[in-house]
Amino acid sequence: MATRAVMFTIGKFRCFPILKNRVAKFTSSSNLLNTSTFDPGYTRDPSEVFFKENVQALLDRLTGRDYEKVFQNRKLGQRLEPPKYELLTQAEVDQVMVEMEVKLKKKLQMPPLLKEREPVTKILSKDAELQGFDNCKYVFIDISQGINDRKREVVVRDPNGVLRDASWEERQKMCQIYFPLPGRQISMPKMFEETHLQDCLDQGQYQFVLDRACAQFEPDDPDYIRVTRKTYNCIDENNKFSTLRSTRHFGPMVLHLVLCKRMDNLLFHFITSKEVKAAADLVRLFHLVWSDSSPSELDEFQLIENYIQGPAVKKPALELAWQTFLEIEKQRLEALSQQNKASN
Amino acid sequence: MASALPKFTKIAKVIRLNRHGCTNRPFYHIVVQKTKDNQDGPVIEQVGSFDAMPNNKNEKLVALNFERIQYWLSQGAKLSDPVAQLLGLSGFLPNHPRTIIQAWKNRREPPRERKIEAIKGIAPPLDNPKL
Repeated sequence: MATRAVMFTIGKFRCFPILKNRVAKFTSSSNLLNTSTFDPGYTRDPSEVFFKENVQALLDRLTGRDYEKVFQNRKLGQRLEPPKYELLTQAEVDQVMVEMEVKLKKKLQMPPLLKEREPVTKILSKDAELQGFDNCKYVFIDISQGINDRKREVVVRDPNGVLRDASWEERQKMCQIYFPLPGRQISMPKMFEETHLQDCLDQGQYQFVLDRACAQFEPDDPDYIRVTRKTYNCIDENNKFSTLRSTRHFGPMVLHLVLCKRMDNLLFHFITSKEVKAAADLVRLFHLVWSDSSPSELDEFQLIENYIQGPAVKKPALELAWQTFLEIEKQRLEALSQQNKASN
Repeated sequence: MASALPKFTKIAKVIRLNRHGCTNRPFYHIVVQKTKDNQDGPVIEQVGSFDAMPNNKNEKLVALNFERIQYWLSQGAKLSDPVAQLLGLSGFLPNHPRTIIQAWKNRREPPRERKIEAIKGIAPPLDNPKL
């Protein structure tokens, strides 16, 4: 475990000169939607929306399928192997692609957005006769095989004689001691404390922070929610959406931004990079989440225009970008039609 | 030679603590063993562990494989006192009388110290040679 922790720190945080003044100026001058990182953004239970099939389909489409990026060799402390070259027939290639598709789906499985878990309050027994039997508390874990960690019995006998279900922190610590998961530490790594987390995000290590949070915490852990929300807000403020594209974190980030009504930066990003389908999907997602109905327009251009005229917050910037895009499209279509005439 | 067949007597099995760890740092394995085997001898199965030193959160960690303990109890294994106490504390068995007595003793006031008066001229009391 110690070596893996060393790998995380040394490999990733080589001496980056952090120009803190410059970073501070950039974040303070930026967009109108710059809310504080401690603001939760919404009080709705995100799991109501996250697990709907149509929402999942939209998030899947928005994530994208860049095979090069998904399967790239990442330096995570494991031994890298050189690529293998094989000679295959077309049928074999198709079969390999099918297998790769399955692997890709597994790699792009989105960690769920849940609301914070309720603290454990169940008391199993109050034995006043056992008060003072010892100075410290006894934590018992059931190590029977074949039980899911979330259902494993972990109980605590306090020095005052009360036998209670272990709190979430005690439970996770015990399960990690006796049934360790790779990549997870027993106590929370210092990286996730506020100051250090801010340092990581300033360096732009978004995917690393999110991957490690995924390994370290359960999805309904308040710390996980805090870390992921802070990362998503940071990406939104700095417009670094392309770093998460084709990763498993893009979907949850998009849904978080839609729930906070902060998706205008992302829409701007899609329009300026000419991804009309993605922009339209984003608007459809907005309507699904906020009015629980799919919009009636089938034309993507009309859909986006209606959103910009209607619910958008950053209207001036979006309108300008949209007009620019439409002009470029018109010119492109004219050029194409002239080419066709010339060839005919 | 019919009676030359060896007679196998059934040796009782017991669930007890085996001390591992090192000097001044005990760590117990909760094991199922035959009663006559030594503490460091052959073990039938390990069914848990007990860390007797409290950690930095002032907790003593106990791991118990309840499924297997239930099985061995059904097969007639006995429990040693410390193991029975641990199972009582965990809620698997009722509270052991020893735990209750120990708790009562800890809560009780310590006995009043009797002060021994020195008598002049005669040898002083052993605990105060300066008198």
